[in-house]
Amino acid sequence: MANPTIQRSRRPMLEEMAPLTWDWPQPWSHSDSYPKIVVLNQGNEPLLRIDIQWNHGFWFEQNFLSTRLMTRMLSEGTLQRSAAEWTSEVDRWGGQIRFASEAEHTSATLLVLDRFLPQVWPLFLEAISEPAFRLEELQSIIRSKIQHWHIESQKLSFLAGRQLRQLVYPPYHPESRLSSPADYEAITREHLLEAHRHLLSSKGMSVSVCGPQATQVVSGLIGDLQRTFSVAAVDSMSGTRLDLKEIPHPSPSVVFVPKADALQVSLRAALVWPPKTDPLYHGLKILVTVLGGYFGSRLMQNLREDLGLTYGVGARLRSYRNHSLMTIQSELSAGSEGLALEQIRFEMDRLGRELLSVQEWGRVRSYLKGQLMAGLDGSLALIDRYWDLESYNLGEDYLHEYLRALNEISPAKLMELASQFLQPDKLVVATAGPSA
Amino acid sequence: MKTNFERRVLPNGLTLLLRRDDQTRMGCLNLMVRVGSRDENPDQTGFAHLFEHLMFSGSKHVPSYDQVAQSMGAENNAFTSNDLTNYYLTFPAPQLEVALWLESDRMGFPLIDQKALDTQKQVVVEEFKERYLNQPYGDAWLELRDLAYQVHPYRWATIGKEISHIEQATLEQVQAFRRRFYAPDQMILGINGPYDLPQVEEWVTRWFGELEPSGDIRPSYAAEPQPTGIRRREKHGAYPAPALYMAFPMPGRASEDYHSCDLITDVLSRGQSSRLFRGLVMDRPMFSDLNAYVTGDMDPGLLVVSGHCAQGVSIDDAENAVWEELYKIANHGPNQDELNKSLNQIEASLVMGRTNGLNVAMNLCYFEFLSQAEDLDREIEAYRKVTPDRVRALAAQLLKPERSAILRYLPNEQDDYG
Repeated sequence: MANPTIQRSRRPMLEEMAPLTWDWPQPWSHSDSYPKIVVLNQGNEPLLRIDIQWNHGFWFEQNFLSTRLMTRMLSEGTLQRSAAEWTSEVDRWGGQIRFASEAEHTSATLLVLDRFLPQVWPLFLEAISEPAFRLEELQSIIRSKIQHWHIESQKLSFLAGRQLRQLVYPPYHPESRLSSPADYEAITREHLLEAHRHLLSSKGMSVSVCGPQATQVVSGLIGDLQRTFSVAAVDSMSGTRLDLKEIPHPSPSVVFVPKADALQVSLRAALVWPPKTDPLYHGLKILVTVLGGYFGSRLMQNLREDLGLTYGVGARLRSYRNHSLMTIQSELSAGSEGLALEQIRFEMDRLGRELLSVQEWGRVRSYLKGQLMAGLDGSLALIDRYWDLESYNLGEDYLHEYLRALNEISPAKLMELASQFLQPDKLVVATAGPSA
Repeated sequence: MKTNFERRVLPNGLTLLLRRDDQTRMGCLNLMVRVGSRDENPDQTGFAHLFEHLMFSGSKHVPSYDQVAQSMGAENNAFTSNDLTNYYLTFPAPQLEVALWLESDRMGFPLIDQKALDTQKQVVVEEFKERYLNQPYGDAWLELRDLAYQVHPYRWATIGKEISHIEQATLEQVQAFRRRFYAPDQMILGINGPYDLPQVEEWVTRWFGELEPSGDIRPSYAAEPQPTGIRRREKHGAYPAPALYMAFPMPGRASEDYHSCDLITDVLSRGQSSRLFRGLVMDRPMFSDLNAYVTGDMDPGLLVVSGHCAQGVSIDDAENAVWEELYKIANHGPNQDELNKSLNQIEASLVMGRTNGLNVAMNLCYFEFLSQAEDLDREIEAYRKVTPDRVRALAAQLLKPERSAILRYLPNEQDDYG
């Protein structure tokens, strides 16, 4: 079958890659006042994406769950329109509007065909600035959330994830607080109004406009933005801020949550690491990739490909302003969690004892460069990267520094970082599964 | 909207579809194989998916697929459906020839030994447990397929009917499966990137040209008889809430009525203003979530309505509320305004899909698999041709109790919900 004239055993040459360059959203020169606006005039399709982000997330809320419910309720009608009318208008013009509340940020995103911007843009602003928070819709949402909570609480990943948060974060930290149906029932319309006031009064709101028509439409949007989110209103309000300094290193532990009818074991493990703004972060990100951040990672090779204990295992870094959290997660064959944890610790320890081979480091470096290139390819990807960084007051320089780290960091430095940060005996572990 | 692409068919039957995209620095390769779980033996289900796993175990000239993929900065994965198996790879554009070498080697010369099979059987068994058995309602599709189909191979899910089929798979069976289905005349190769056709054609011919075709190997799939009465199944257990799955047979993906059926479900549940969400989740909260969708299978598939009951709502009341909505669309249809809304949403989704090179390559392959890749650009026209009357007529024809398969999950403490 094989054609003797083709030398299949010899891989075609990997082509030399041109230096990686990219466009980057630019500050809109006409807007030197609040809010900050950047524009990315790029894209082939007749689409426009507008993002608004506030420097205010649910960690800073006064009433538990109020920010998350408030952002959910932004799409449930305004002072001018009922929920049915507002959603019907947005759907009519094919607009996609998403409101999201995260730990330290809240965002609103509009994606719309260029030709329908005039119809959808006012609806977008109206939802943010004049939400009605009607009681009827709030009650429906709360009922749905409670039902969702009951369903999620049957999942092992939910049980292990909640246990891990309590092990990692001290009691005063908002991340350690776990929701219950009673917390949802306690939310009132007044709580949402207050959360909304805090959102609009939070400083650090910024905006991006992205698409092939971005520069043509941005001027028309600025006036609307400034009228809707006036500087006076911003200055007159005082946002509540919680000073979440570096969290202390949690005590190493392994806690098991039993669930009688479970067929597998969910494992969640974590270490608290420095934040994205720390100079060591690039190296730590590379280290997490080697450990469990891609298909060929040490953990995937060991737990899945060699031992067949799991469908998947991964390690990742979740960033916050004052720290990052390195987490490991896997759903394992019941009874194998002891072996799996032993192997996880072994692989962590090994990274601190043995230099990465030239081949493995070369693969990881190439993989991460490919990932970086893909992450900067196309206007929608670029704007995602912009917000990944803007959220931490970082800019394009961060990407150049990361690229430099990929080119220059040595296996010895990675081993040194591993010995400092990947200490198996500091791992905090939560598992959930069947009782022994 | 026009997707400019070119097609070449190699002498061994491999179809190449190239879309030149000079705006990207990434290459995307999508390889679709015309084999899915419908091609499996009823006593050996889950093979197409198991085989997809084994295709990452290395090949004769490339012992580690992943190591080479990572060395070229690529991200890759695969999935299996009832109708097809799809492999895809994105990579820095200049590495296209390496990508073609990599893919062609595992398609033509996979190395599948007992150790790889034993490991992947364990991995797939864990996937089976993780996705289908170890979470509330995870087995819904195993149950619903079994209830809705009697003879057609869609009656089992891609993961397989039961774990034992995977555990009992032998090396000989797996290799026979490969010989039958993994041949170039069963493959469609879609490429998106800044490439010239002559160069791509040369490389594709070099690396795929020597693979041998299998000829006509399509099994004939047993035609599913029209249902003659309502089929019901109830599962009792420690479920967190009652849940309802209602399935109705509908035409296949290539049928001219497919788009009308899809619009039935769009009117019912696409967007927050849709009938089911606004009516039965928000305004009259019978469900905490409720969706309608089509399976989009090649052979006649299913139109499905599924959701979890709101707290305090009995499953009977919830089901009756869904029937009321189904009767409304069957009796009165949507109005033109509702259809226009769905059409604008569909157009926006199609345009958004075009911003991603891999999505374009995958869609070209999929439409070629259905009939011809040119149909990708006719998709919005096909939706725009649908009239409210046609939607109403189809709804009236399809959404009848005697055509339905209804799966209900009932918590042990049913009284709490009733």
